[in-house]
Amino acid sequence: MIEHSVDVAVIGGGPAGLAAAVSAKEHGADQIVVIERNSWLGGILQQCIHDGFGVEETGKSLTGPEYAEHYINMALQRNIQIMLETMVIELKGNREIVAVNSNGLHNIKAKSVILAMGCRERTRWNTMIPGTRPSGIYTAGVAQSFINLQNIMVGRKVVIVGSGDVGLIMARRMKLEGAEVVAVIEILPHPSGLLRNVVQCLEDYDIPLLLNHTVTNIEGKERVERVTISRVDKNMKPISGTEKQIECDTILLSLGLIPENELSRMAKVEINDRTGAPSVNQELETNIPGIFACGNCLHVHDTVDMLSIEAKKAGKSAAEYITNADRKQYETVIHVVPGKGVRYVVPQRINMHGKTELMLRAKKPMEPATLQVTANNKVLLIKKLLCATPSSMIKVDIVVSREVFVSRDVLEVKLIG
Amino acid sequence: MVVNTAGVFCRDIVAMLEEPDFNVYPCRGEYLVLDKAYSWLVRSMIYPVPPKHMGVLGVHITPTVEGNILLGPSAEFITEAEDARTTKEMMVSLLKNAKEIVPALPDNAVINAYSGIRSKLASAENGGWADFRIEESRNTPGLINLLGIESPGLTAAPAIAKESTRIIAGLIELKEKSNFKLSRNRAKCFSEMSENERTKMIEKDGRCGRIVCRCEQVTEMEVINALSNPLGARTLSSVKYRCRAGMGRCHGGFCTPHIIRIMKDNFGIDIMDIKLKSPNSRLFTGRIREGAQA
Repeated sequence: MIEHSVDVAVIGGGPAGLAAAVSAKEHGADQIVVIERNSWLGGILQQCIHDGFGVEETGKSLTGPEYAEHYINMALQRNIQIMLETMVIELKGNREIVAVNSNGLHNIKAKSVILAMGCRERTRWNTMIPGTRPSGIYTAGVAQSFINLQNIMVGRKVVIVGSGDVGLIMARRMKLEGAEVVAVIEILPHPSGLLRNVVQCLEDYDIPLLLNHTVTNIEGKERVERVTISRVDKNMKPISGTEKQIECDTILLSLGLIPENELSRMAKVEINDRTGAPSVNQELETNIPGIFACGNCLHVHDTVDMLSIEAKKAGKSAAEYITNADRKQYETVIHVVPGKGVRYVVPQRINMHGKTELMLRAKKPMEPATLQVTANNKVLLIKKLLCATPSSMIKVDIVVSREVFVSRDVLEVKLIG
Repeated sequence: MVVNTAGVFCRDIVAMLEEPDFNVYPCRGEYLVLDKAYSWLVRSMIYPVPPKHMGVLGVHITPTVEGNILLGPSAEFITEAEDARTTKEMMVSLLKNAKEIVPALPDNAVINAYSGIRSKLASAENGGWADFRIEESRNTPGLINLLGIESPGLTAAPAIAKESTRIIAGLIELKEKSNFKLSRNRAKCFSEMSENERTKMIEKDGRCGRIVCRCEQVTEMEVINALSNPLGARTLSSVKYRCRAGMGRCHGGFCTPHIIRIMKDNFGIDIMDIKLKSPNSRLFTGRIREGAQA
């Protein structure tokens, strides 16, 4: 075992890990290591060759690799140690990491750990899409990696199942590469991805988006030959008699993203039911002191800009955890829970009074909507929103007074249509 | 001498030689595979009281040695012997039935589904159950039929082999091989190794420390070994069956691009020749830019 001792260990060299590492350095942490399982930094950004990254953060519309380069350069300039092609295979609650690469096994003792493992794509079986099991079925992200990183075309006549952002981007990408994109099938009454992607990737290219539809059968003995789709009712059950067959040789799945937290679970980090990801406080610290979480392993973000901003906060907190001996540890914790109309809210815990930023997601679209934060029926905040949709994360600052804080009342966050 | 072990197609083989005196009723069984993360839930096989009407065991819960839990199988008589699809109705009902036995089974832990076709000698109307037939044909000497070997055919396989050998020995002289290898050398995989074993392996070859399948902790070397196998694994599925890369919860989301890279870079396989499983199950349709480097 090769022994290492560092101030901050960051698991994952994608956008969240890089932004967190840079920020930790800027806030006084000295020895920082970023552990990345692939042979490159920047994570999934390197296969996102379309533009639109960095608009909120820099005012410029960059491609994924350009955006990544910016943070990679910052990390390298700040002498942040990078371990590539290195897989973390164990994380312990005492902030020891076991990782493996071609040099051997590594035992990394860290004063603080930042979880930035990102997310993975939901598969066909997570949603139990029935039929045969031929070739030609890819998750949208895997198809994107073949096309943009390995110069390999995955199909000619495509049906996209699910309207997540990666699926929408891939609809356009396939079309630009000469494939026929027959339709995007979405079981919900609204698209899952951002509105701008619906317009720029589907409408601009005349690709039909079939809402309230689901795939009821995949056919094909060796390669995909066709899919059967059906309209669904209010309970998302297929309506018989509405079946329609579509000939295709390829199916791309964009069924949503799952935060990667096998390592978090291994370290006994508390996992929130709603997000399937660590519960954190306002400083993005998990229930285990010194272990922080950020990026898509904490909750799936709409844009990399928002993700980087959050990751910098985790980096700052991780640095302060080790540099600030006076860092106050409050005994009191108040819980933040999603109420009516809210799918989840981050952070789930607040252990300090004062200003806190809440990030939340709506359960379904509302126009207009009222955001309400209450503590034991006392209203802390009311904010009118022009609209609320599940595809757009809502950020709001609240001020928790000392009085509310000591009362330990649960904060409930609601969206009312 | 012909030993007919054609399963659901055993009648077709007999029909090539004589008029079959039986029918085969294909009966599909679907299974769900659950994430290893829930292996702690079930430590032994759990069976319901078998349903009387179907001639099957009923949906049971099977922990595997690798840690995945299997739910199933269903039992559904079908007309087309090769129709090995999985259906929504069955997938939903398997989970529901299994949850009646173990209510703690999570809804979102399914990582795969598959099905197989039983070769039944009795129709649903006739109770769906008949004994195995292990016999030499009366009309065609030298045709040894193993008919209707459905569940528990796997469990019974060693006994069926003995019985078949006895029949064959009555027809020709059999001599036991003195050099027959009864056991197979199976290399320990990375995920089963101790810290010391891992360190030693990586010292020998760095590729033994490069993990390409995150879910099952399969190394680049293990994928290379699967592809260098004397039997020549050349498809994604054959790599998966040999080293488990792609068997996990992400369903190949992380390892597939790595395996394809290894296939083309280390083994010089043309991407147009890479298949999922069968001869026409091509994975790709060409290059994005011909002549460009990946």
